[in-house]
Amino acid sequence: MIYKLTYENKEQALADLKAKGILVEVEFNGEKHEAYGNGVAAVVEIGLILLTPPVMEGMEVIEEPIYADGYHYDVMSSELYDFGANLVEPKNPKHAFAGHSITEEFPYEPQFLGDEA
Amino acid sequence: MSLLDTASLIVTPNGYKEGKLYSVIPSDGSGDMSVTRATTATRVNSAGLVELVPYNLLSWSQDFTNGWFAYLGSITATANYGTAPDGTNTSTRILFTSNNQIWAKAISGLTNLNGTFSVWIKGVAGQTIAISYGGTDNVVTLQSGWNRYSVTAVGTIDFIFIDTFGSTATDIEVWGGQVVEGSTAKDYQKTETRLNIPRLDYSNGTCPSLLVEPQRTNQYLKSNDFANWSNNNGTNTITPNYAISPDGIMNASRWVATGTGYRYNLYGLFTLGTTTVSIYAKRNNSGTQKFGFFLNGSGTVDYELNLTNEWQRFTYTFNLTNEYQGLSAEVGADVSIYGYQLEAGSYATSYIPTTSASVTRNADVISKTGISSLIGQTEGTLFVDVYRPNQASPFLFTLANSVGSNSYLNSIYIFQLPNDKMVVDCFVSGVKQFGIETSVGITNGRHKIAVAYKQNDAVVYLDGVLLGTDTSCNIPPFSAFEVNNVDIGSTSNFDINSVALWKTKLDNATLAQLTTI
Repeated sequence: MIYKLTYENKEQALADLKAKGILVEVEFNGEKHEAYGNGVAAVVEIGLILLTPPVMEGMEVIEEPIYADGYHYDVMSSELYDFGANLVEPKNPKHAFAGHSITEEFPYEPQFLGDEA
Repeated sequence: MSLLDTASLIVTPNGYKEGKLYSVIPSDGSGDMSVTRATTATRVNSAGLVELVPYNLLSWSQDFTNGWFAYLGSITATANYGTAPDGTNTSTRILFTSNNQIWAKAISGLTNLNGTFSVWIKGVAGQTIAISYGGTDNVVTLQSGWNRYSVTAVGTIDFIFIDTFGSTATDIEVWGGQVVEGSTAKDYQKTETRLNIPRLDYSNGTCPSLLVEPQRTNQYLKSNDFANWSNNNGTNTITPNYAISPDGIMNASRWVATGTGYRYNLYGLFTLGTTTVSIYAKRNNSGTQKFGFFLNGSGTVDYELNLTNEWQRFTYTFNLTNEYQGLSAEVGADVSIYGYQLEAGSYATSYIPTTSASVTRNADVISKTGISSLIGQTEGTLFVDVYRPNQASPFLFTLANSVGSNSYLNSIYIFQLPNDKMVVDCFVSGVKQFGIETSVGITNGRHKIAVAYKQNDAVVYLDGVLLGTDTSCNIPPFSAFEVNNVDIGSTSNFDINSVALWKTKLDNATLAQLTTI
């Protein structure tokens, strides 16, 4: 399963991922490490998502870019989680896993299907 | 009998299939390694070309019922219907009910609209059937028996079809579908999920090594579509598909600097901190060529590429503080470029193509459980031959009685510490039995390491030299072997030339000989 997640900020995201056992702290070689929990193949820190590009004059930013609300993560795991309202279904995903369709987690109509379908 | 004949397990980058790396010893399958990545990835193939693994973009290439769907009426498809060209019972029968119907499948992962769909088809000789790539049909006339047909096009949609538009056949068998980028069909490559294929990489020479990398994300969108990067100051022109690129396809771009300036793409998402940018580039003429990366909004060449007439991959690591980075040049530069990558981390990893979104390649994990019979229990030897490509690219090999986050509690592991030192540790029920490590960081390049063990007698050799011994240790039970381990936060990045186990503790003279580079 690929989960696309949005949180108010990074701290809230990390707290939830740890609470669900997606990120765990393990000790290895005498040191604490952040690691993936059972069944987790990847946790990707997406961070900020650009909605409106900045207005630039040369390399000078005239108008600041506008970012989507929140701080974003993608999780790939074989486990089932209830993320509640943090789980989102973006219409225009900004991140994909290599070899996976960017829309594979969401129902969609093939683009070549017209009104006849 | 040679030393290798006495090994209980030998794994080399040799035979493989999806999710599996075959062991040389034993040859009955009991030592085959499980390979997990859950994503595709790229490698350098035996021809020295950057290649998607697998290059066949069609999943489940021998099952035309998996992910395929009918459009415009009822179509019946039956998998494993008859004898395929390879003699197996894996052909699929497709029974159309009329003309003007489509049997379709979506294709993901295309980074180049120029692609080729090929498929073996058997039907009534003389009848016609249409095959389509990206919306372009090729109506082919069927020959007697199985024959491979293909269609090459510049696609406009991410779908392939087998359809009956403008054709006469309605009852056919198909097998061995393949979609590749470029105009050459390539040798057929069987696929299933496409996601867990070991990468036999030829970056280090003519012999392959097994590439093991950490999870990384290419955050830069349109990684090989420089003409459509969002911003430039009008001082450069880009010619797409100008030259044969490092992936062997005519998809490298030409950058001609008519003035001094820059081009970059707003990649839409980013995380700040230690970041590495990389690109393949070469010069197109012998004139002045000042060309390179600009960083953190400078717009000028901050890291100049030492260009030659041959393709090279250039990398640069810096502290990313904003989302404005890309390429810059001074007037006169005439350069071919391919495959821009921006990834969090202190070194570059294999190229991850992107189009409209950033893309993540997951970590490579190689493991085998349930092999207590192949691992020496009271005594034994673990040998690894490894290539370390760059600083801060650690490796990890673990003999344990489980895999996962707690596997180290009963284990012997070979690990590269963050300070570049290498350590061999042994734990029994979480109690450290011995720890033997180098006094200084190990160098980049190839290393051969062996740890031989039995109760109160452990020894480690590195590159032909005795590294250390321990005479007061217990040995845990072993049933598993693991390379890399995301469950303990491992970020391994290295190439494996070979791994071997013996169920005896080899003597020091043999260990020295075995580990000599």
